[in-house]
Amino acid sequence: MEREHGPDLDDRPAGVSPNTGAVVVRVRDVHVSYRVYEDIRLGLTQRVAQRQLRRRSRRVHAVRGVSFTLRQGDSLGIMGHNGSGKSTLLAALTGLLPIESGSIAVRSRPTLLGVNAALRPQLSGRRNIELGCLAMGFSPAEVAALTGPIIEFAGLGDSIDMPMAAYSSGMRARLAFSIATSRTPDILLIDEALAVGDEEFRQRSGERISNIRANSGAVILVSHSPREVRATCNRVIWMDHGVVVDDGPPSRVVDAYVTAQRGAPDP
Amino acid sequence: MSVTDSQAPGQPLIVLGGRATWRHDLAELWQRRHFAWALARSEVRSKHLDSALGQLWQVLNPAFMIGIYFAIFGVVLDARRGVEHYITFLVAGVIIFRFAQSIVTGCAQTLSRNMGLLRTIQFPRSVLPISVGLEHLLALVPGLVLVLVVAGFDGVRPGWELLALPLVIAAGLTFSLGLGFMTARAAATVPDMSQLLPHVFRVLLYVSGVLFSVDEMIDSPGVRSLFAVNPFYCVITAVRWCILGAPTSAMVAVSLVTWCVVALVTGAVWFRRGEHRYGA
Repeated sequence: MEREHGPDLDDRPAGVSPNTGAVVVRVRDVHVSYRVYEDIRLGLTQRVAQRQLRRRSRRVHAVRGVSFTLRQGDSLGIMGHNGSGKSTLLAALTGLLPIESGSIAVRSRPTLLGVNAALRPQLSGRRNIELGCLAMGFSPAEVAALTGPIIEFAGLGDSIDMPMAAYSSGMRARLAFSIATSRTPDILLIDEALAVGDEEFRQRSGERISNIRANSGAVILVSHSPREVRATCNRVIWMDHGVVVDDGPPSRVVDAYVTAQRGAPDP
Repeated sequence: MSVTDSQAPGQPLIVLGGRATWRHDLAELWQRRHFAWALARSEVRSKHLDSALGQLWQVLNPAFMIGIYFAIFGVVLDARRGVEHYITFLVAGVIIFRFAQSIVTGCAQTLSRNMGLLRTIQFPRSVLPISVGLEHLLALVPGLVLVLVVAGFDGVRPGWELLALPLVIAAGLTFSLGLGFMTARAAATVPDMSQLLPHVFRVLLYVSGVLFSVDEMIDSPGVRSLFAVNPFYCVITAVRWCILGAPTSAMVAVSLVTWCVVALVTGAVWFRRGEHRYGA
């Protein structure tokens, strides 16, 4: 590939395996904030006295200026303690959460795999496969062809005709992963979803992720597990309070993160 | 959402958060038609899963309600006086009013009911209100059968006007869906909407001539023509015209068509403007 890449190559931190493939994801100085309402019990008289007639709300500035560029075959891990802005950043990458400033450009719409990806809990796994695939834009004929392989990959057996509400979190995660990856996604975002499966499923899903990378897509994985990040990613971003603390190869960043976690436990 | 980023080398990138063209959105919506239909069917199927009589409640529910209305309004308050075929008049009114009400109310709940889907899969969000419309269109079928059976027993012999019924129902669907787009977005911002709607519809029930004949009850032609501004009154009157051949004014037809266009266009545009926020 002899294309002019401009300043994008500079974005790659030292130590991360070189990659000159086409840009798949470009995140530039992204800020995300959202409003939360405080849950304080106030009587009407107190409200009037304190001139607080509206519920008090606060803006949470969850992501503060994150930038990175991913190319074909990259797999980025994002680590950080709870509330560091990891999941918010993923939500912004799907385009579901509006960003305040900066820009996010992607080659195709990313597929997000979340922890609680029960689509319609009161419906059976089979119906959820049908609805999920149709929602992704498959035709009924394609859905019919995909259903068998999805059930097989999820390894749910007879439970497939039970309502999803009766599934264990591991079963839900397996089914959600199988649906989301039934057509090899170009960009896959994973939010802690793989940790719930058992060892065997972890291995199979790991193979699928390698497959996505081999098919010149990109994977972004939010995880607490150093082992999982080391096994899947070629680059790691460590976030804290919405800011990037470190960005580089897993060998360095994961170790630094783990050491910091031991020194100062989760607040 | 497919604004392209011209600076990108190679394949153009999609800038997230940009606004796509209507043409692009409509094409995506058309691709999801099977999804809208499957969602509507599964909603209808799962409604009465846990009751012994199952889908029979689709007819029993309105039948009981109509029975109560008939006893109180028809007999006790004597609303049937002067109205030919009052029972058919009442059944047709209640069924079509419930149809419109269910769509508007269902749309207000559809975004929160489908949070799992919204958070997991990227699809045009307007599929959800549309599938609510389809769901209640499916649920309307047993209701319409009830209307025709009652009309048969009541000695009503529908004329050529019955042929216009699908068109009138389509108008009712269009207008309710337009309102539904609005309540869906409103409920996404202010969840209290869902608490308010039942009261709004309680009022609408009384001012839309569902239970009594506006022509019989109100003498002043000026006040009567005011009713033609109310789209619910227009839909109900149009349905009664189809089944009973009851005379109606051209104003009702004009008002209905205007409401359909205004509600659908305003609703769809407004809903789409907030689309990126649903599910967050």
